[in-house]
Amino acid sequence: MIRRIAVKEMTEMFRDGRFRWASALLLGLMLVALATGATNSRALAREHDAAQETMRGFWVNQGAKNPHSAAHYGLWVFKPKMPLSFVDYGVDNYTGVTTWLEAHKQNEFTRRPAMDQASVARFGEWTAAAVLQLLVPLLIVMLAFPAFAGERETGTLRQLVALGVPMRTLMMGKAIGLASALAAVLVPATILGVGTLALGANFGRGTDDVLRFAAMIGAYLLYFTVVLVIALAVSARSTGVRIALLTLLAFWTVNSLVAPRAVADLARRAYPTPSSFAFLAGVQRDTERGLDGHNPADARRKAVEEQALREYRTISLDALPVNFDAIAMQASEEYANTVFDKHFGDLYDQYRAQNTLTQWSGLVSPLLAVRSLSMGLAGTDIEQHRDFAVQAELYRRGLIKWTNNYFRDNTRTGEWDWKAPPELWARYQSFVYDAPGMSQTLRHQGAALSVLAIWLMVALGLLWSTPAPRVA
Amino acid sequence: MEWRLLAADRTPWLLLLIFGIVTAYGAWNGWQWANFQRTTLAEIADGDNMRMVRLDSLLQRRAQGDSTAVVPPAGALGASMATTHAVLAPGPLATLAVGASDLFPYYARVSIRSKQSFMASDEIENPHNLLAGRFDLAFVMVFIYPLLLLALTYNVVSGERDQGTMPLWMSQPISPRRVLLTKLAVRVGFVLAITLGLSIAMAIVTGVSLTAEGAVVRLALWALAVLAYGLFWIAIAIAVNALGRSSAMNAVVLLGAWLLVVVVIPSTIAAVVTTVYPSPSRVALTTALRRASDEAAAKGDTAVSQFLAEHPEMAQSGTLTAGNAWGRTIALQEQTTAALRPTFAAFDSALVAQRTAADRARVLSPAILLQDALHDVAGRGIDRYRHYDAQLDAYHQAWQAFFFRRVFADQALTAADLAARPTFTYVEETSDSVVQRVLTLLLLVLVPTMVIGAWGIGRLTRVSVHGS
Amino acid sequence: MTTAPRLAARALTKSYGPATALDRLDLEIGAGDVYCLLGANGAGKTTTINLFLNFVAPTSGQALVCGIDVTKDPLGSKRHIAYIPETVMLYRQLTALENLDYFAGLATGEQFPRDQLVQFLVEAGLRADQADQRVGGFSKGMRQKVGIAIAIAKRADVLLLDEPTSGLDPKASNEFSELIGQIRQRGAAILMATHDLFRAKESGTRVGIMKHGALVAQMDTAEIGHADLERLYLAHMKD
Repeated sequence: MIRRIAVKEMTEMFRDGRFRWASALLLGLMLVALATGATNSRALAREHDAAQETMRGFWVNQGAKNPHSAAHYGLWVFKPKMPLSFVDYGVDNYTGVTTWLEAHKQNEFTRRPAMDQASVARFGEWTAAAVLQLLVPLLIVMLAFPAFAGERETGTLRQLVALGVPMRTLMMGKAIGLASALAAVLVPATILGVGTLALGANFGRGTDDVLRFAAMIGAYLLYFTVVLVIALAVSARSTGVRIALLTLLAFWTVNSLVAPRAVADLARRAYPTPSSFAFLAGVQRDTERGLDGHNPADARRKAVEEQALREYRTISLDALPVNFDAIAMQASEEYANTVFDKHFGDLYDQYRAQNTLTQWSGLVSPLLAVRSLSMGLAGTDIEQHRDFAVQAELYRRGLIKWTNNYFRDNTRTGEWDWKAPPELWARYQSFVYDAPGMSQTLRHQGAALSVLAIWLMVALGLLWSTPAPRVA
Repeated sequence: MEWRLLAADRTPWLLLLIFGIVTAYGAWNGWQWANFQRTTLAEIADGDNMRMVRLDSLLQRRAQGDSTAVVPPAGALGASMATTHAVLAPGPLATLAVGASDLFPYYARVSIRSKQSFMASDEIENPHNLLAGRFDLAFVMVFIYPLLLLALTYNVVSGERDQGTMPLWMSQPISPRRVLLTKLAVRVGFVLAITLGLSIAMAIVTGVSLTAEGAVVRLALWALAVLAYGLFWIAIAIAVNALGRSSAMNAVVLLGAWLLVVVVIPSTIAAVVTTVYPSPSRVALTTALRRASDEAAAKGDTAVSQFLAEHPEMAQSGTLTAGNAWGRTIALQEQTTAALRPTFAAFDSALVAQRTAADRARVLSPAILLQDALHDVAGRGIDRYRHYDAQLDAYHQAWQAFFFRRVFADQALTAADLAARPTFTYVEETSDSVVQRVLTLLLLVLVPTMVIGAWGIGRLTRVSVHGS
Repeated sequence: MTTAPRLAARALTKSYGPATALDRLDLEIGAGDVYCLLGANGAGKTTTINLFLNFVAPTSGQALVCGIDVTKDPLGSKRHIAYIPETVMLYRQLTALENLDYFAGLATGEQFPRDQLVQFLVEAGLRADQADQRVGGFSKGMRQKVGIAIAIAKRADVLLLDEPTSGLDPKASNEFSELIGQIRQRGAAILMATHDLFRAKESGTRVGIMKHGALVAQMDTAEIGHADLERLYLAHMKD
């Protein structure tokens, strides 16, 4: 019986010119979004990789230099584009893409692409994710609003009930029928997506990317199911087509346009972040409390000095077989690192708290939950950015420590004019970003996953408890 | 009569209540953000003052012959210790929009270093929030206010037909157009009055001072912009009503139009413009910067002498005294900057090309026009930032000139010098230029409004009792 | 044949607040009966039909279909019923055959072969070539024939007809009466609400006159002439 209803719904849908027109349009938009997404992502990926290569070249070929000068010269690293970023740009345009790794300090990421875009870009980006998050639900709403309300208005619902068709069966049949009609749009879109992914220049860690892509499809299907069932439930409970349509359009508007902004402002209030000025002032204040590697008058330097003397069993710095300046600098680095860990950690934790609140707000607007999941899986959210920032910072620390140790072991205290051989710099390994696996990504999506699970439960409950229609 | 019908219906009141809440939330967010900026700027001013007082007392002690007062070289002072922030305070109507101000820096600690070095840090903000955008009053006006208008006008004709009341008054000796337009005028006048009233009330509640320079003019512009945008949507509503379809169909068509204007066209423009006129690459710029500074450093003394030869106004002697490390640093830095000038010019012209294209294309969507107009009125638009940026550049040059002379002459800074240092005060744009820009945008909103409106009103005479 | 009447109302009452739409109706309709309910608008005819369909719940009393209480086993009772409203509503995008296939399939759970579906439509008075036309362009009478075809396919024991002939032209109306006669002969019980005294006399076996929710008179059509029926009806309508 369910199958019969589903087949009838599909037949009706495919004969409806509006449906054919809308799905062709949607598919076209999807195609354009995927194509531009793939082109842009690939170009950016190449550019970032090339820049990284160039910067490494600068580092390797910096010539004979004092190791500490080399540490000051430092290295720029660039955030690589993730293979799935063509589906969902996420926050990529709003995070800096590069940072300078240098001695003494952890720099912020700079060069947000959004700053160089026209103001119109803030209206939103045309990505496959935008089509999936905004337009597919709109199509679902347009398809499903008359499902019950329309049949009630034309009187066919009365006849169906008179025939003794149980409401639950009707609901299931309609859900399956509409879902199958939607599949006509979504299946080709998915195939296109898979194709684009496979052709991607930066299709790196095969299986993980495939898993992520599959999980992404799963998340979107879940989202569409939720929207479909909500639409059917509203249609079944509305007195007329007009009410059903207006209710669903109001839901769509709040879900897609109002809630994301409203929640962003709420999250900022709930978990405030400092201004850039206050943040840097805080870092500076705490670093100054620590040890200044360049200042011999510093009392804390004395303590490091005494420790070094004990370690090398000598009584004066002049007798030390190694360069004490390098030891002091490394001690200062290590103190500063704890300061950076605290301040940057606090900042990113605050972002995380904001994002968790946003994910929970998915209880009002499921879009927020699926958007978070989509970005997370595409590797374009702030957690991925943080992961990159942490790895870059660890690389910086390793690099600086390496220069300090080399300086320490090859010179005696005070030999600031000494230069390391030019071939030295190539000996430190280049920076390779090791992107987190999917399970690590999902760890920060707990709220989003719970929210979608709750919605699914609510949706199934709605399906199950469809009331007998008021027909008279 | 129409007013009594409208007042008797519960829906408009409910919609207005929601709209009121939404407006208040938008205004509250704008107010919070402006306050946050003002607090930050106050902290910055405190810090700057404290540093200046300390530096001044150091220089005074030095002048009095206190040998424990070690004054760092002029270069060090010009690069950090004597520097203060050049700030862009929120404008008089700042609470009404956040606009681009969450993305663009509104303070910079200008030094003798290159602009890239002191403009490097971005304002801190969760990128997820940047992506979502802000829920400010401008957002409410661009996105939600049309929905309110459309909700009250979508069935002005079809509603009568659905109810079956239409044949009754169509059989009376009055022009149907006149009746419909009267009905419309009542509904629309009501919404417009409420929206404008709310806007101005929110402006005053959030502390906009009407006595501030240009505040009244800007507020009037705001009202005008909201009015023009409202008229655009009413014209669309009239045209759709004139098509003579059912209420449900009207709702769908109008919502489609809304979606097209506020979502589809803007993001399509963004996609097309960034594809045809790609944003210049900051990544490439970063690489070029490093390459140029490496090259200058590799040339070393040659680069320094070259700079000194080319800039006799800064270094009369033509050479650097031995050990003038700052002189050397500056010479290399300026040679790097000079070498990069074509690269920066290309970068800027690519940026200008993209913005020009986007500005031309925004004619296609009154939503973009209104957003830009409202941001501009509130002093949150890109133009005010450009205005600030130009002043920043001028100030940077003055600052460099002031310190470079002393660095190359190897002179220590005195307390008198410190007092005579260039300072930055942002000079607000004249109201005239804002008025001119905003009126141009509004004109572009009014053109399609008149065309669509005239067509719709013309067609209303042919409205039929039964629909088509 | 079951001993229970096909349709039975036992003190069936429906009130909306203080207003009583149907007042203690007692009614029995057996196989082969065509019972015509007459009465002014608001007399309770449609309410009676809606109660048998369980579209509205009774305030008190029982509505039985083949002995089944419709409130206790709504789906079971509907297995026996075919309902034909004033305008039979169909899916405009589907053909007559597809509509029949859909509704009949849902009603019986069976998949009828195409030949048989066409046969049902022909029995209901449609031409075979009309089976594959979309019903978007069908007239009221043609839609009603599809409705009858559904009833035939369902082999319904009970037909509930709500103002079936209003808005039909005399020829279509006459064809409809003949169809009703055929279905009656197969042993179905038919309850028909109508304004059409002539049609009630022609196709009905019994008529009942309702007023203010109560059945005020009933008689066999065989026992009364047209003129008498009309006089009786108007007499009851006077207050």
